[in-house]
Amino acid sequence: MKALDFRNVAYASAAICALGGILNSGPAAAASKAKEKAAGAYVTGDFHNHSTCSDGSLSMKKLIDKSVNTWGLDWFVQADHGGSSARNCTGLTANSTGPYPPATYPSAGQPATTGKGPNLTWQATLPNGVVDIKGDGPINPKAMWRWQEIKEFQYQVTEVESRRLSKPIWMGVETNAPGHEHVSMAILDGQRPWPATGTGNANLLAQFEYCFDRSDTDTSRGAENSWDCAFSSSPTGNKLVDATSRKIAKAGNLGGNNSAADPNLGHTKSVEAVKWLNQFAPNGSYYVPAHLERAGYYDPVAARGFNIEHLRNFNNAAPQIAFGFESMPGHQASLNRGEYGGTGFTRSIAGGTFGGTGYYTAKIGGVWDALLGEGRNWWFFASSDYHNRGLFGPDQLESTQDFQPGEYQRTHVMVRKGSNSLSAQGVTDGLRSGNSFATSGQLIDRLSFVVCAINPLLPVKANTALVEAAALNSAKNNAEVRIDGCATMGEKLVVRPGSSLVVGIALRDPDGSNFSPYSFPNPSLELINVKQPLNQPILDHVDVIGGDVTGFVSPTNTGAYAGEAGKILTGTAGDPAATYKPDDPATLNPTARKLKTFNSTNWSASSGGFRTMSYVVKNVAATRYFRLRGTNLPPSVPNETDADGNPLLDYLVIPFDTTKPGTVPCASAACPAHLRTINGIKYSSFDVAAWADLWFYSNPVFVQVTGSTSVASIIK
Amino acid sequence: MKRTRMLRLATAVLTCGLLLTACGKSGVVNVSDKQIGDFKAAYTAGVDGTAKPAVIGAAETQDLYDPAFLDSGFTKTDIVAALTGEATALPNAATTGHSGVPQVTLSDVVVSNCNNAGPGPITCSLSASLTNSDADTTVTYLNSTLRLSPDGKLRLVGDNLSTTP
Repeated sequence: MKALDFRNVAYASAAICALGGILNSGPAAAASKAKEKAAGAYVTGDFHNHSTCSDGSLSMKKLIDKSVNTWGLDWFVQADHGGSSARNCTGLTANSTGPYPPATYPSAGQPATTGKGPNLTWQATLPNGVVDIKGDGPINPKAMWRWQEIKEFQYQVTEVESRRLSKPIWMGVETNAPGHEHVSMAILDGQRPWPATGTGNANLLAQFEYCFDRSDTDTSRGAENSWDCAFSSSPTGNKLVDATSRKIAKAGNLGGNNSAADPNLGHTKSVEAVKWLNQFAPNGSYYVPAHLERAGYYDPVAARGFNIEHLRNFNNAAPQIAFGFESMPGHQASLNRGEYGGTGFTRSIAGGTFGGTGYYTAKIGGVWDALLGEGRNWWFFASSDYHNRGLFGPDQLESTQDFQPGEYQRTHVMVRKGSNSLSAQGVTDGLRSGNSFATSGQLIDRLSFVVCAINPLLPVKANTALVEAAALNSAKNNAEVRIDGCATMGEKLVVRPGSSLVVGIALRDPDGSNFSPYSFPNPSLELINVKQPLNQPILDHVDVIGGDVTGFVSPTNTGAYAGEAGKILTGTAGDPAATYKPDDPATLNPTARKLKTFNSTNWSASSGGFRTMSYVVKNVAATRYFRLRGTNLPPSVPNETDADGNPLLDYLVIPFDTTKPGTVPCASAACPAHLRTINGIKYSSFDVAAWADLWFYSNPVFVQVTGSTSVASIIK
Repeated sequence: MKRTRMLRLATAVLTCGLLLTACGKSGVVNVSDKQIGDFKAAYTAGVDGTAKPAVIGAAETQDLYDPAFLDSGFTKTDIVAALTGEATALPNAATTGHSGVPQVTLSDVVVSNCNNAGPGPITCSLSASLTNSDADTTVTYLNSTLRLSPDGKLRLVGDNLSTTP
């Protein structure tokens, strides 16, 4: 009975929100007129990395400095886990990572050690010891609730570092979402990162962490803060609020998680979290599920992964807060790429990552396409999720675990500067807009992707020439095409039935080397007799993927709304012997397909690494979308891509079974010693495997045909 | 083959005769300045009026296209349908959000190389610069082919390709 109650709360609230979303979606707003768009530029950043304030190995200061000064990011969100931590993460580091900032970096990098990060405790270093640590907690040394760290310690560091570096740097949290695994989120409200001045705070973020992180089992209401997590726009959720802690919690389940006694309670609480953000920080917050395929399928009695219905529920609850996912996870240098599969994550969706990207995105016609096929504004993001470099020290370049922010993955997001400077609000708006793309290994660093209606007065080739010229100009300026009758990523073009379109793309495959420390030949490409230095990848091709938009699915239409994809039935994720359940219909968009492939035979190459391409789509009758992916690997690279160019599962042996050979030998004498080695043969693995297999994904451009299905209003 | 040549010669002679244009030697045809000017004016007006239903839906605009028009897979029927469709859609843009089509201004419009060297009627080359200045400035070029119709009008005939790029 209880289970039914909670499920009903979730579905009923989702249904109400979905109805609101549907009502709000029509008539939908078209892409802004070109003159109304302030000039902007794509800027690179990362919103999910860890410091010693949770389980990372670098102090915040050093991590932030790395992201900006070493790897060149333009913006950064410090997002440690929710819950608690005993380490004083703002004091001097007292171990192998060295003092900050280091006087010098040793030429060979700092030595690898097993102990990473400062190990000074709050209890041992605060002026009044344990008395200064607020809230519940009997552990000795007492851990500090993350809400206190965020509010009283971390925020101050980010504000100082932001201004020191003249970059928008602000606080977020990788929250432990009740009922699920992790979600990257932030609340900008109250914070005053560069270029703002004055003293800001992260009070609202701290309150969110207290109220909605399942690992925050503090019941103190934030001590002197006296927080109350009930809120006016949530009459149903408020009924679940515990009298003492004033958050959704129960005796024996203070995190408000899914449990045998309280099935689906956690998911309900997570939906409430989204609504709370929508009420208190509608413009400054976001809620983006992280590495969402890693923990596997959803479990109503545990905290695990996300099914498609949960993404729909979040988006229905507040489309301007829950607008995407990190389906290109961090931890790309780990043995089980993305930390998907293997020990600890035996149920990862479809067994692991595919070219470093989760199954929900990597499968054409899968979960992402299903969401886009509803016309949802649901965007793709990447993050580095940096914790440490595994066997290596933080200043070394090799890694057997993570890459640092900006070193390997980047999210490029359009920030409209207008007459103002780059700002955290501008980045947040850009993330929300969907005008962004994500890359690995700096495969490309510029992208202009646009869909334009054909002007019937002009010859077709003049139309394509115009679109290509505009795309190339904007790519050269790191900007977007601003032409009426065109739409770019995250936007929609509204056309009459029967319109014809030009899909235009310009990008830059940057000359020179990326940040890979390896110049030996890419071992994956060697399998097809291509010799290409691993640190000088070349874009092989770009796929245009598209599908029909058929409208929002009602939560009451359970068969079309809820379902599982890539669910493991037997075995361990990553094991070739594992079996998987066929994907449920709710997770599919059967109309999605690869529409066009561009490569050196049909794109125009120009100096500086720019590539320009276009094609014409005739007589569009129904609403649809277009998105892009690209890679350095041609189709049919053994164990990497199939004949159609789709990425294959990134490992075909159980990741941690080191008795088994790998699938891609690393034959060069320069292949590093830390690779998987069996009988003297090294195999591409860890960071080498990641650098060998690079991808980019764009967000979609929607084309809405008048009289056909409406695309949800784009939220500016 | 002989019949085709005869027909082409007859067309050229008839056109020259009817329009009192001076036909040069070696198949080069001097289409009159008026014919060229009329086309340029009509085409420029059409392109300038891409966002104006009265222009884009006008018979004069549709008449810019030769019946045999074929341009990268688009026939005259396709173009006329697109023009009338846009003319219908534009007035409702405020409610539908209709995005319209990219607009350009033409400059340096040149009609040249009129000749009857190939099979069929007299053709000319059309070139122009295109500029879009909605927000950022984009300049590119237009190249196409015109055909001199028996009624003495130059019309767009397209690139004669049946597939889209």
